[in-house]
Amino acid sequence: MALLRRTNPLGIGVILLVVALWQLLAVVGPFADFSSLPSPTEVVTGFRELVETDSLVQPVLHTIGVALTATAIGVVSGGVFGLLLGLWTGFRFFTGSSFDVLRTIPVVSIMPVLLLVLGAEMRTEVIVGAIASTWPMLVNTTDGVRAVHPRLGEVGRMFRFSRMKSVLRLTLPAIVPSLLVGVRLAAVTALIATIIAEMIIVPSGIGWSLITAQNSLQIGQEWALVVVCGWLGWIFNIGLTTVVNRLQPGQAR
Amino acid sequence: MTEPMYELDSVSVDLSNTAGTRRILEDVTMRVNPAEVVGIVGRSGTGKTTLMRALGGLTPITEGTLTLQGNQVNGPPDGVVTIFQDYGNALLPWRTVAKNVALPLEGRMAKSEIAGRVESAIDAVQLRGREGDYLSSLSGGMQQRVQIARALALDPRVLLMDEPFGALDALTKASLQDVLLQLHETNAATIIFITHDLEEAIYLSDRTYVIAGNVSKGEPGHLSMDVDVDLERPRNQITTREHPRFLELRHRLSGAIELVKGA
Repeated sequence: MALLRRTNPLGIGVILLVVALWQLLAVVGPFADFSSLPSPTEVVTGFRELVETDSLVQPVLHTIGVALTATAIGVVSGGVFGLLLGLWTGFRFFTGSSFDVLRTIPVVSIMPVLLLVLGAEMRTEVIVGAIASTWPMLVNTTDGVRAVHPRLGEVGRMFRFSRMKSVLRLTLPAIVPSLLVGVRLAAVTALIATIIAEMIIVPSGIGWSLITAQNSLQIGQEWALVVVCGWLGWIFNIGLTTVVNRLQPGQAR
Repeated sequence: MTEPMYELDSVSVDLSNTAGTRRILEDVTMRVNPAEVVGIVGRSGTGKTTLMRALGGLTPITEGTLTLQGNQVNGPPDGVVTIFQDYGNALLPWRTVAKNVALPLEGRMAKSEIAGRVESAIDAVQLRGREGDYLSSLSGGMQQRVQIARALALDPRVLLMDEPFGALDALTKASLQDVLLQLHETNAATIIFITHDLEEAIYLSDRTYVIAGNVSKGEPGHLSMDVDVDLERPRNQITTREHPRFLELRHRLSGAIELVKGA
């Protein structure tokens, strides 16, 4: 019942309409002439082929595993450096601009370098994802700390808290919302970086499946994989949003 | 003569920001006795809040001496609690009412003692039944009561209140004023509060200071007069406020404030 109440019939209707229109255009024209633009039924067939040849579940699990591991590493490193930058003026003074420069380097551009340095191994894939997911976590953590109202620090001083106690009881809980936004962005960024890494560094996972399908001109399968990637991103987001909402007591919703 | 709680001798405070250094308070001399209730009234921009922050050890003084029970104040002293006007920023929205009240006690005493103190503080501000609620479900007046309960839980020597009821509606204000008077009778803490409201100052205090000046025009805040409020306690909203002496004091204070405005 709860599911029924949460579904949006009009929204689903729009999706169905678009798919129907796509089918029509692909069968009747003008898309019928493009061999690389399959109809929805061809995509479904491609999906079935992938399942039947056992080449869907394993790559998907591989990609999820790598992306989650990378997220975990990125969240820890981004969180730690973000806290240092936010809480410690000296650290920010000496390293702040270095982080700002590093952060702007697109992770895709260092993938060829990492391939040479670290080799075509799963380890490299994880490292790429971890680097990519460090930045959103770092930025959100630092901004969260710096956005804490100064009054809260005064409350700590007034109650004669030590610096440590102030951070643990006041600052950290106060920035939980920013941390959770950081985790969400880190996870989605890690997923994207992982899929790209699978295309150009390590032949594995869903990224490599996409390349394989492309090279063997399996257009239906390729589009099916694109749809799967969409689902992955969607599930990541929904899963994390649910976790995030549970971890924020006292929020007016 | 009893030892004073606070003693200020020619205190001046300068504050710096990017635009430079500015004198906010000049030559403030006052003496606050233990268990006294002192009101501070004045217009906006006269340095009232800075005075309060100096008393609480949150802003260092530049000149003069400021002592609390004979000890120089540098940094927030033990047992002095400020009730901030912006309760929303001073409370912790991720904690329940009871956990907010417990904050200053954590790590200072046994859990069982904390529980007892929290309960009586919540009782004192009449929030029983809301212990498990988060702040977002409480009205402004209730949130301010949480902040007062948090202060009471520490059993402070001094309560500093920076326009504690300024943001509240008239009825809530009146009921919190009475809560405060009752608390003062049972706890005997020294209370110093800032207000814009002359009647509130008279109703609550034993003595009210008028602070004058215009900091933004280069005239630092200074004490321009003080009035002994010799109304008998316990006071109540109706008879005290209709007492001829109350009206007389109000006239004197508003005269002083008008005078300040003209200057």
